[in-house]
Amino acid sequence: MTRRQALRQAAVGFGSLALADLLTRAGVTPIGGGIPGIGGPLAARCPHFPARAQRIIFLFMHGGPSHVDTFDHKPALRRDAGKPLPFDKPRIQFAKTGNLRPSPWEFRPYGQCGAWVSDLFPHVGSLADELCIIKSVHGTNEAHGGALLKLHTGSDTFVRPSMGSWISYGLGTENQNLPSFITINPTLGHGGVGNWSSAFLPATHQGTPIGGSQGKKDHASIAYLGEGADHAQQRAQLDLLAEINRSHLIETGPDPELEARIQSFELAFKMQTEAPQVFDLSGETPATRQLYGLDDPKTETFGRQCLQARRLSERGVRFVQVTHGYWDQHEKLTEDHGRLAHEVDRPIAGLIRDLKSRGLLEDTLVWWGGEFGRTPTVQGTDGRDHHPHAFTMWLAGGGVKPGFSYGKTDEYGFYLAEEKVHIHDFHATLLYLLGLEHERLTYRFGGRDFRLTDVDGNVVREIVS
Amino acid sequence: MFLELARWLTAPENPLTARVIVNRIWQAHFGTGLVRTADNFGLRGETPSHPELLDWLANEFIRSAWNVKTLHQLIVTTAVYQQSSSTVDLVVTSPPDPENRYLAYFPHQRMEAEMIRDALLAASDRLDRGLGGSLPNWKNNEYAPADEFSEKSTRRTLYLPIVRDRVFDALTLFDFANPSVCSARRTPTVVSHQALFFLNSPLVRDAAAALAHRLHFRPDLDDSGRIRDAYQRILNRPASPTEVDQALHFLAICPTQMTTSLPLPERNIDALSAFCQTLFAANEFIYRP
Repeated sequence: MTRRQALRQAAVGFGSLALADLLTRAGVTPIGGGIPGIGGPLAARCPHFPARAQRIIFLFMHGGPSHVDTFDHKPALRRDAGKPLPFDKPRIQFAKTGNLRPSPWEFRPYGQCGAWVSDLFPHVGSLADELCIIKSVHGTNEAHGGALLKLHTGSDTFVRPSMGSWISYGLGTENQNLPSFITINPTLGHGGVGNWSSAFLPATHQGTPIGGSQGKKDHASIAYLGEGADHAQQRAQLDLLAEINRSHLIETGPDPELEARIQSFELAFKMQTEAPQVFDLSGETPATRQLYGLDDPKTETFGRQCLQARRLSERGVRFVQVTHGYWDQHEKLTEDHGRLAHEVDRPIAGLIRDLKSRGLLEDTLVWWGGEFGRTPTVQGTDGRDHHPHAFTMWLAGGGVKPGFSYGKTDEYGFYLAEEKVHIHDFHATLLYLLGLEHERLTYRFGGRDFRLTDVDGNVVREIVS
Repeated sequence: MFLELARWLTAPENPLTARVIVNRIWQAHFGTGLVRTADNFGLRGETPSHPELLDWLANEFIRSAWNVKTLHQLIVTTAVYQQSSSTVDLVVTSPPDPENRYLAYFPHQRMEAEMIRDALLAASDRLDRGLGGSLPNWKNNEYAPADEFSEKSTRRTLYLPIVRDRVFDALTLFDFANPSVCSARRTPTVVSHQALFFLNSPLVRDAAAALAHRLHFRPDLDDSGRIRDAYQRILNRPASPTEVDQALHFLAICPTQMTTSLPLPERNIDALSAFCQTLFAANEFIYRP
C-alpha cells in the first residue's frame, strides 16, 4: 500500500508523525516524562512534575548592588567601622579594598516577618511578607563579564545556552504569537548576546531583545511586525498562498514541516495585530500607571518596563528579563546607589502588587538580583568593590515561601556562614519551581548531554512553600 | 609539529578524516549525514546508516586527491540523489523507516539562511555575483561597532561580515549557526517570525517589487506572460494553466483590496509585486527541491 493509504488507515494520522518528525528535525531529545506538544518547537509542554510557577520575571540589577546596603543588615559594620577586616581577604580580588565600612543607610524591620531592609528600598520593604530573601548566594565571578555569563548561562568559561533559552526549550511557551523569551533593555556589554543566546540549542529559543541599546528605546517592539502594512492586501495574498501551498502539498505528499509552515503564516498574520497591543500601554488605568511610577520622571522608564513585563507575562511569555543599571559603585556609592534605588523601588513594588491583585503572583516567579554584591570593606572613600563571595537575591510569588529568609553571611557580610546557595543551586531551584528536574533537562551536543547546571546544582527545597 | 599533525590526519592508514569530510558533504546534500552525529565519530556518536557506502566514498575521495568538486559531482549524479521528493506513491517498507534513513525518497530540505537571501536576490536579478574582496575594511582586532553592510549589500551572503554580537537578523531568523559555538549541523525551525519576515521584511518586499517592476515594463508580455515568467524565475518551472488562472484572478481582485489612495489603474504594479511576494513566500520556494 502507499504511504498515503497507510496514513489513512492508521488511526493516528498526522499527530504522532508530526511529533516524532518535528522533534527529530529539531534534534530534540524529548524531555523524560514531559509530553511534547504538537505545533512546533515553542509549543507549550508539560514539565517533569507539577510546576509552582508558570513563568519568570527577572529584574536584573546590572553592575552589582551592594547587599550590605540593601537587604543584608550588618550592625557589626557600624560597631567596627574603620577597623580592618579581622580575617584574610580572598586570594582573588577584583581590586584592593580598605577597612570595614558601615552602610550610609538605616535598616528597618518590615512586615510580620520583620525582615530588615535598608532605606534604599522602602516600597519593596513594605512588601517584605511577600519576599523570600536569599542572603547566601555566591559563585559568579569577580568581574562583570564572567559574572553575567555565569549568572545567565551557568558558565563563565564556555559558550552555553542562557537560562531563558533552557526554559523555553524545556517548557515552550503559552502564547505562540509572542516569543518565549524576551529581554527588555539588555546590556550589549559583559557578554552581550551571550547572556540571552541559545548557543547550541535551536535558535528559536534565543531571547528577543527589546528596547535599550539593541532597539529603539521608547518604541519597544518585535521585528517585522509590519507597522503600516496593508492587512487587506495581505489577506488576499495569504489566501493565494494557501492555495499554492496546498497544491504543492498534494504533489509532495503529507509532510508535517510543510504543514507547520502553512500554519505559521496564519499565526504571523494574527501577530501583526496582537503583538503591538502588548506594547501599547494606553489601555492601562491611571491607578495602574501610578502604581508603577509612570507619573514620576525618575521612575518612569523602569516603571514602564516593569509594566511591559507584566503585560508580556500575563500573555504567556515564559521568561521576561528587565535590566536596570548601572550599580557598579566603586565610588560615589551614597549618591548613585541612592539614585538607582529610587528609580526601581516603587516600580518593583508596583509590579508585585499588580501581579498579586490580578491573581498572577501565585504562579509568576519574580526574581531580583545582580551579578554579585559589594565588599563590606571600603574602596576609595565612598565605594565598594565587586563581591561574588556572598550576596543577596530575593524571589517572590511562584511557589517560594513568602516572608522568609534563607542563608546567612558572617557578621560583616563578607563570607558565607550558613545555608550557602551557589549560583548552580539557584538555577536548579528556579527550574524546580517551574516543574523541571535540572538533571533531566538536557540536550545532546558534541557527544554529551548538557544542562543549565552542567555537573552541579542542588535544589534548595527549604525555600519552596 | 603542524606538519606531523597534517601527515597523521591524511595518512592512508587513517580513514577518519576522509570519512568525516565525506559525511559532511553528504549531509550538505541530503540534510542528514550517513553518520547523523557529524561532529562525533567516537563511541558516543552514532553508527553510519550505510557503513560500506561511507568507506567507499571516503576511498574515492582519497583516490581523487581529496578533490571536493569531484565528490560533489559523484554524489549529484547518483540515482539516490536524483530521486523525487514526493512520497505520494511511496510503498510502505517493512521494517518501517519513518525518518527516511535509507533514503527511499529524496528528503526535501529548507534552504539555509544564506541560500534564502541569495535566492531572493537572484530571482529579482539583483544578485552581485562578483567574487573576492571584502565588504568591511576593518583592521584586524579593530572594534566593529556595527554592521552597516548587510542591510544594503547585494553581494552573495558569503561575503557579509559576521559580527558575533549582532548577527544580521535575516540570518539568525533562519537558523544561522551561532558564531560562538562549533556547530556541525544547523537545526532548522519553523516559527511564525519567519513568516513575518516573508510578509514584511525589506529583503523580500524589495525583491518582489524589483521583479514586478522589471516584468511590468516588458512591452512583449501580457499578464499571463508575466505570471509565467515569475514562476520560472522564482520556482524554476513553468506555471500550469490552473496556476496561471489562479494568478490572473489574484491580479484582478488584489487592486480592489488594497488600502491606497492610488487610482485603480495605477495599482497594477503593486498587485504584481504582491503576487511575486506570494510566490517567494511559498513552501516550494524555500524548500529544495
